[in-house]
Amino acid sequence: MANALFYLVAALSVIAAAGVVLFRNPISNVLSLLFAFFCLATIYLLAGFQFLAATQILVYAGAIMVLFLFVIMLLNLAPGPNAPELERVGLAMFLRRKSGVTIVIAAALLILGTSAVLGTHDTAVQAAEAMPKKGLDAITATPGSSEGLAGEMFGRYLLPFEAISMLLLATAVAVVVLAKRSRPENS
Amino acid sequence: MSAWLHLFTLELAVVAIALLVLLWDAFAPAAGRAVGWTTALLLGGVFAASFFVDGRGTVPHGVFVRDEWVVFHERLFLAAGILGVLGSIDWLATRTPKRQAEYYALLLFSLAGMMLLAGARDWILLVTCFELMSMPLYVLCAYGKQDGPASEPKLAAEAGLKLFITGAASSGLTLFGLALVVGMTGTTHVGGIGANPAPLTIVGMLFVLAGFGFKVGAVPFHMWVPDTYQGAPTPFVAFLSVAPKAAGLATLAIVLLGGWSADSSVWLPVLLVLAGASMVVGNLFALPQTDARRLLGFSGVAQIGYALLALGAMSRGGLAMTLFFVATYVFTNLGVFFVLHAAAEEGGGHSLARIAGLSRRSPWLGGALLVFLLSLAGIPFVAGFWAKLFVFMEAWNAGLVGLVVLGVALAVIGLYYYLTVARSTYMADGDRTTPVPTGFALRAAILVCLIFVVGLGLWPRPLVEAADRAAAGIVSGR
Repeated sequence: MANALFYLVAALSVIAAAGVVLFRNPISNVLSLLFAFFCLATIYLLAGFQFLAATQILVYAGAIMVLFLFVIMLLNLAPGPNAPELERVGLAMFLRRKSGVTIVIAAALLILGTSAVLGTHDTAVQAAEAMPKKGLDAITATPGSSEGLAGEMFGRYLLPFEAISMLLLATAVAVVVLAKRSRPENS
Repeated sequence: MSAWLHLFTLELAVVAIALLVLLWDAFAPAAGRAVGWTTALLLGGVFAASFFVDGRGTVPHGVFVRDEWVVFHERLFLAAGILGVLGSIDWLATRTPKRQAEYYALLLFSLAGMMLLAGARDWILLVTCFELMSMPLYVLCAYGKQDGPASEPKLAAEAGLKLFITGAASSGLTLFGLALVVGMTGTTHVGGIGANPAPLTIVGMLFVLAGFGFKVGAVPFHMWVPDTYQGAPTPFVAFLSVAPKAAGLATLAIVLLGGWSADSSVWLPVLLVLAGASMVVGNLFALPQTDARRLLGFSGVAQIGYALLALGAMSRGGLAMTLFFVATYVFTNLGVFFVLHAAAEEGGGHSLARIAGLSRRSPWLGGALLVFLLSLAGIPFVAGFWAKLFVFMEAWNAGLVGLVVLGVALAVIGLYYYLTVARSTYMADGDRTTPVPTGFALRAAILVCLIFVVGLGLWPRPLVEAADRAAAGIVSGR
């Protein structure tokens, strides 16, 4: 049952991801992305990561996607008389443009990935599963609670956690620098 | 926690300087050169402190290891950071006098990311530090996106966008690959791959390699290099062309020689193809360039090829010579870009025709440029000669004869285009005859680079020994 659900959700998330690139209307792109996020959250739930699933929906689907929608609606990218001239995105563009190299690379990646998945025998997957999962074990030991996750985040991964706080600060400064209206410097 | 906090004294100091600069600008905005000089002097203090702070050790769970390898890289990055700040002081003070602090702060954040990166032994920390290093660089590329000589197109925003898109795409590649690797190995430790990795792990690692290949600008992931170098502000390109490359190579060494040494049969051919392709494409595409910065961009691609070649030797000596090569490249390339900046700032452009007659107008600058170019080309008695020689020797000893022959042949081609630049400054006549005005900070930065390039050419031993000690942190044995 859970397996069937996983395959269903996985297939849906792939379709949604394709929709992000292939739809022509920016709103449809964003809504596809939103749907893909929900599918991912479901997969996390199936794997037993309730906290991660909730965070995925709260942060990505809730906060970030709403910002995306705001920006797109403010920019008025929807088709209409006032819409700015945009190159139309979509499957036709991929086929029409000189995208031979892109298609070859994508095909090569697809073949590489598929052969790797098929070549990775079940025994290797089982061996990987049997390996001591230091980080993951701590989280799955207490399903439904964020205690294990917190222990890992503020224990083993404290240093990356602090590094991310620096990264966010640097990014905030960087965005302001980039977005600040440039003044006439010689005045 | 306090038991290992002392390991990060230098990194914390760099971040503290960044915050200080930001706060200073927020409360007492200064328009002169004070912010820049303070940053440079404080960074100099951190560099000096690196010889007295003796923190070695490992953070619990082995997420971060501070050893000779990290110490070497911290000093290298700090030196590049100091010179990068020095070279930018005059430019910022004249071009964007009201917005200076953010530039230094972002550069310092990037610097902190690089310094942490060298000791990271955990995928999560590694990727975070890589982003901490890259994110400020994207924006610094587009710094002062509206200015520049009226005759030149405004390319800074385009340069920043190109770096950002390739950078974001490569980060995506790396993260996707890491999801596969961590999923298959069950650990986020870099050394978790082991012998006989499953095919899915290998594919994941190839994604990771492609991601890092973008960052160091190795062929076929080099498309952003010339465009970004041409468009971004030159004093920043000087920093961009050296420090992130050194950090990227350090990461490759950590991942390949440190983490994945058990099964090199998979990645070694990939690495050697990258090295060979970078040498060929970089050197050949540099030939027809007429813009000095594009030329140096392709020359940088070629130099990365040489560094990867030494990495491919897979020995402690090879890694040590990669470090030596990168260290000399840092000082040489910084110097070249600073001289170009001085010449182009007044000449109104970076095309080779614009810097013609430089040595007649300012013999001192022309001479410095010649020394740097000779070092890049690998002529005896400047630092670059030893770097190339050692790299080729280590690769030869490792049995990479074909690539060494190719590299030597291409180095001769390299000599041609480096001397093309030198010829235009010495032989050709420019349309001006007055000396090129340079600020004191820029002159100081060029002088320091010159001292290192000439000094290392005459007496490379201390740096070689330091590099050898540092390499022992990654590759044990000979």
